[in-house]
Amino acid sequence: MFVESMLEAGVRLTVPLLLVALGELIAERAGVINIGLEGKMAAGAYAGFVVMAGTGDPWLAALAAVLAGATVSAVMAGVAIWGQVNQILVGFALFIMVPGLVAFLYQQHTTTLVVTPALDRLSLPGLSDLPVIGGALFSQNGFYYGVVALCLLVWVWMHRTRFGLSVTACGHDPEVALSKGIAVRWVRTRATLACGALAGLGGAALTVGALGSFSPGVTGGRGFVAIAIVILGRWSVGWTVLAALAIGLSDALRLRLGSQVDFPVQLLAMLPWLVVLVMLIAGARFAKMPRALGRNVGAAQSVT
Amino acid sequence: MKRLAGLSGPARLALSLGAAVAAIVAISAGLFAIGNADPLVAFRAMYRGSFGSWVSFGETLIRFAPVTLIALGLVPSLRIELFNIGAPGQIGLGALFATLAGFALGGAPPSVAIPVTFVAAAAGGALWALGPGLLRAYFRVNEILSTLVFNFLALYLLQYLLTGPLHGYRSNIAQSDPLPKEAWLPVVIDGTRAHAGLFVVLAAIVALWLVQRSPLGYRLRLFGAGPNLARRAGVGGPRLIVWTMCVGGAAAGIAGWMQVAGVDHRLYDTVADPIGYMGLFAALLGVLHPVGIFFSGMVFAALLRGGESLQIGANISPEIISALVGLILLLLAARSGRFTRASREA
Repeated sequence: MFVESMLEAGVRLTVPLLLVALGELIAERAGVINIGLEGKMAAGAYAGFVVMAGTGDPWLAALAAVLAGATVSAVMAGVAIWGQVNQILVGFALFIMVPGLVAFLYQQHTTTLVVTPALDRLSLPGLSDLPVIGGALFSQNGFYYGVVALCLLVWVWMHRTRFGLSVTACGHDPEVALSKGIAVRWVRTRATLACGALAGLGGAALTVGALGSFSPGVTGGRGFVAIAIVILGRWSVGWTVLAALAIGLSDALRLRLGSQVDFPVQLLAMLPWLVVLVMLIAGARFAKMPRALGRNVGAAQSVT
Repeated sequence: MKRLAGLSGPARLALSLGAAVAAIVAISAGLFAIGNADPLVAFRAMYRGSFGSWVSFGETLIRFAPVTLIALGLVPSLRIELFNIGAPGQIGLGALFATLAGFALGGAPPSVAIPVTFVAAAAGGALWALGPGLLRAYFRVNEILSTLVFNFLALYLLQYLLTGPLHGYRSNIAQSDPLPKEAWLPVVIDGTRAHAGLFVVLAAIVALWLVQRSPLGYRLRLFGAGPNLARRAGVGGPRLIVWTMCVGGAAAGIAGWMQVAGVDHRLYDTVADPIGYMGLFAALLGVLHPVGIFFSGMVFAALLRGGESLQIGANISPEIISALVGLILLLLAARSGRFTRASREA
């Protein structure tokens, strides 16, 4: 029972992280680093929760979260990619601004908001009865099946389409990409918007999908964890899934142990963060970082 | 970043601050309106809370001191393009070390207790920055992410200690026993809580001004301008990274000492809460210049204090201040954007 319930919780906790990490993966492959990921996630977490509380429709909530995340990304794209401002500075601004704004809006309207019911689980007949992994892989809420589909979609998008190739080109050598006729800034803008959409959805997966409630600071550093996941994931979809699972499972292990072992919960709470730290150290050794990550480029004529 | 650092002429400084003030007023009025609050009532509450009387000015000053000190300490690392966002954790460790030193000294006289707790706090903060510094210098681990991880580790460590071994006698929240009176910082403005830590800030402003004009300051600028070029000239490398990170950590640790010895007189797990990341933002808004940081530190301190009085004076949640600070930073970045066209890479 211990293993089954831990795997089930681990996969559930992985879903929001993986959605955000997938978004960051796309943006970083295009050469854009999003320190403000936390803000995109917070925007999606709040928008999704508000719409869910108002309408009770998870599809509308997911749509609102996607739009909210993409809106924050539009600011990032406008200032950093088109205004050519240091991406890390813009990221810091969004990291402090959006969660603050969301917390402000939540506090000001707090009396009108309620707790939403947690989403129902969708169990696949037959498969969900498999021993050990059945509950974890085939009996989760809708966001889980969404993330599975999106992982496949992003993999195909990155590796089997022209757009994916141009994304990689923009991330490694934007000047050459420009000279080959790729509209680098448009490609990066689309990648950044996709990142915001996925990060927003990840926020909703947390509040609407996993918790059924919102509180200021609910994202709790997960935006930064997603960046670490992409580093250990070596900017590939497959490894990113595994890295996200490592964090999700360690988080689940922490929660399980906390209720079973006589050990200070505060020290157990360090566990996922220690895993992140080990991941960062391990990831740095095998880094295959996009070479132009964080570097802005001008219009075509300024390069030639 | 580079051009930000170069924008240090007085005219540009005035322009930067003028733009910031105009932006604060215009955008915050809009935000208050969105949040169903009367902007005029809100502004009046913020003014009264931050500058309205000696008492409230003192409250602004006790936020000004740690924010400004952290900002000053971050300048060397920012000059070589290191983004240390670990101030919350480093504040926590500095405060913890100061508290432990204060208890260990027992009733030693202030002439001993104050310097010893000060040094302990600086060591604690530097120690918490040493890890990310070493990881960055020798393992190429991104310092933004590693310092964030260390923030959470410090928070959980404090929560564990303050509900366990350091838990205050007969208290039901996470806090320590009060510090011995001998380790308390003296008040410098009668009737307020403004403490002697302000002199440390003034000394740090002078120190940074001197360092920027010294060979070390020149080397930092050279390294920031082009790491490869600087390396060929024999400057920088891992040791510079570790040292500048530790300087930032020590400053944040001393900020933690101010909170414990000057303001709270006991250790809470929320010791870093209102200040946290503000030091980094004050350093950026102050364009890495000692005088600029003095003013940006005052702006953020007044905003923090004003934000707290919004809750009482106008029933507006103080989280609005984070949104405002972010907007100011975004405007600053966008305004300097025209100058940052050159590629960031060496």
